[in-house]
Amino acid sequence: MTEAAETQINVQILGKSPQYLMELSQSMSLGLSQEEMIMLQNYFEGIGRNPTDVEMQAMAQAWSEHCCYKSSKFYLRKYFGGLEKHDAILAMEDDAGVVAFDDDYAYVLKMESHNHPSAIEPYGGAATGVGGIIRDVLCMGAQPVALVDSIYFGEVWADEWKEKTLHPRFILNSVVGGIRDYGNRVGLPNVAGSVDFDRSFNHSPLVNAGCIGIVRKDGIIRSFVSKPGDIFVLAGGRTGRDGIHGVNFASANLQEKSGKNKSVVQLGNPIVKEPLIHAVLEACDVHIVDGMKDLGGGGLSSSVGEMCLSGGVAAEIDLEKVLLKEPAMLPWEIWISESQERMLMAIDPLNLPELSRIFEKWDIEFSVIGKIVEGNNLVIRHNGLTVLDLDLDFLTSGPVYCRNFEIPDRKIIDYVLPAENFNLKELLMKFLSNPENCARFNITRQYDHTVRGSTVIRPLSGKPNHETHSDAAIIKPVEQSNRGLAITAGSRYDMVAVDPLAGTLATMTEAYLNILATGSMPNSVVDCINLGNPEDPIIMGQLVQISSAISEFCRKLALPVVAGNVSLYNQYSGADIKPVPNIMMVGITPDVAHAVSTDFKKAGSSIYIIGRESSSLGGSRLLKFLGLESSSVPWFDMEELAAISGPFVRAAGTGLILAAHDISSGGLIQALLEMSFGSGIGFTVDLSEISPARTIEKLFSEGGERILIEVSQENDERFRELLDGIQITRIGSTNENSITITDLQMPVLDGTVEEFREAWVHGLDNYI
Amino acid sequence: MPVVVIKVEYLPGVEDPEALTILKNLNILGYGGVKSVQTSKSYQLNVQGSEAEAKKIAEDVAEKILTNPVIQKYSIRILKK
Repeated sequence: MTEAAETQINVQILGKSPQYLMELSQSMSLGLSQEEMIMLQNYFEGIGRNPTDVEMQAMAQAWSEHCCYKSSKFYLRKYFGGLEKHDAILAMEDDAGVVAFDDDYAYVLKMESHNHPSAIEPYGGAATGVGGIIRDVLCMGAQPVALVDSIYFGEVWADEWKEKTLHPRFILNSVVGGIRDYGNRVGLPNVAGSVDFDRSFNHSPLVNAGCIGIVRKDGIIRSFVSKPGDIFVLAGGRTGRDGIHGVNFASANLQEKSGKNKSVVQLGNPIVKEPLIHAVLEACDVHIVDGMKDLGGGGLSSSVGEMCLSGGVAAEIDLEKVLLKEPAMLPWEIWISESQERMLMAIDPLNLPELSRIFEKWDIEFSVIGKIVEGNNLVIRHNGLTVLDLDLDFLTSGPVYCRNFEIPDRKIIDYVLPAENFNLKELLMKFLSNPENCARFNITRQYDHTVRGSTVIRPLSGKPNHETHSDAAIIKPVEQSNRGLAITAGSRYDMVAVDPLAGTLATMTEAYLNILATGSMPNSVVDCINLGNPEDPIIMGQLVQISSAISEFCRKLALPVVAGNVSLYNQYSGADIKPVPNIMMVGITPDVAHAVSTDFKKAGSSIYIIGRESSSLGGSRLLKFLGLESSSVPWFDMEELAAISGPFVRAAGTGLILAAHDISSGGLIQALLEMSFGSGIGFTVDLSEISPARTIEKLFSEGGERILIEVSQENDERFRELLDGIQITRIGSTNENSITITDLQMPVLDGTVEEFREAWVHGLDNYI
Repeated sequence: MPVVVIKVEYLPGVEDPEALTILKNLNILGYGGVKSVQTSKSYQLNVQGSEAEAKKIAEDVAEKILTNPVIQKYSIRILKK
């Protein structure tokens, strides 16, 4: 340390008691545990001095759960470490995954949670979740092309709300508003995702935002820097006091959220982001960017540290060069601020004039904040005073915990359906209008799906203003190529809550089928795992089971896991959320001209089920709706899935498949109805051939790897030849506009498409 | 009937994108003298009862549905006829 540094604020930790250290951690909002504080004490004893306040804050950022994954890293490495990369170019290495798209291009993808900020300031929290994920894709040098988001809310229908947390209905409206305003203003289509409701999300809503981008293979920018002599340029938004301590906050459980948490909330500014995207991509195009990282959780502290550590270099930073929103910010505040819309680039100083020209053209502010040097120590100065001088490896690597985990024995519960027959029509009307099962139009219609003009399959399919839900969306990212990217995201969290292993396989299977149903071949996976408190061995058990299921599925189906995110401490007053492994899956559509959508196309076609039959109601939406419990979840057969994928995509490529929809939430009946809802075309179906189970089980079971298909009758024979060796069952045909279901010659259901659609389409009207 | 005005604005330090965009454009248009812009929203309520009762109701409304204390603050004033 230099002499001048003695005028900095030193934090007295040498020789202090563990109890004192813990109190210090709390009073400085560091979020570090007693053991971690002792590790710091030992380090500074080794170098013979007390730390500065900047050093303490930097350590707290770097060692937070959010930045170093200390609770999950051990298990993530164990389960994802040895997975094959397949088409992936960068898997789990940089800020986002990069996968080959064709000979010249690669696509970039990532999904991240923004749960904790969204719980206390849902509009800003959700908006900055979108903003942050765009930067993750942008910093690989990629043009962002589409957004996805999976959002989970509490009981929005609750009338009374006595808790101190925000009402789930307010959270729903604000989160959707934040995603809408940010995505629409920045000019990216929001094309896929999921919306779910469950009481376990009452105080801990989940917001998982994903982004996908496209980049020329020779234009990929890495998230590290390895060239001493390069300079660091910080561009985009200014640095302010917003978002200080966000990551420490995400590493602790949310007790009672109140105004006191203000400093952790950031508000986004898409009006700055849009030109920033252009400026950054233009700089990438002229090949002057040597390394790039976005500023997210942990701010400059984590971006500079991680970029240098991965590149085996060190840096010298001058904090007074950082452009500020408000004067008189303290050095540690500048260093860890999580203000939005900022990008950190490493460039050769000779290229600075060119960079200036580009950034001035787009009216983007920037400043040179430091340079890359050889060595092991990161040195930070403020007006010439050294305020941080630490070994990068110690600073950035962070502790790794091998936390204990426990997989509890499950009580065996078998559901017992009432013996008498249901009034199916009455049940179905109520089921379809339930918020969990109804149409998501009130939400999805707020998002722009087609800006950029490359959306081939939108999240809504069918007649304009009379659509149905799509399975996966398809984007055509490269002008000169007819290849498409099929995108889906979601989770079968109710099944995961019953059995994390089988439920995660169900989640993976649904994502896989969603992609397949559009005629595309699944190609890569990103996971976003949302859990409760990891200090509870049962929660760690969920992480272990979920990770092992994702890993097993990907090994059997030859898919790479290219990026991931773990969000922990999603709990309130000791109650954890249901575990949610949210899976984003991307597939390749060989030719978008043959992309398949979910809506029935014409009367008189054949309807087939492809795949293995299933009649268990375990983990189904119907059981939840009826208030029944079951300890079993259908087991999905990965070999079967692998066997149908190739022939199915080839069949789709012939153009023979008019419509396809996978069977998942709500079972066969919901899938059939949704195919009708998009066009108003009805169906006449007989259930006798499906299985010997009870009618209600055949209609609502969510098991099996099944896809419903519409094929023109004149193509029946050719279709069967194409799918030779795969279990296919013809269950009926489409008609003008009525719905008729029979089972063993008995009538089961009669009605018109419109009366069922009416129940389904208005389910959320009272809440958003 | 008292008329109550509730003014809702951002807390200091919270980014105000709308204000920043306006400021930027004012500078482009040549109003270099404008150094900062802040936005706020005001709600006008006609409330039955005394001034004190009206103020109490306005506070309740502001806290329950008009503001999020994490990013916003409010002030209340009674309009004199």
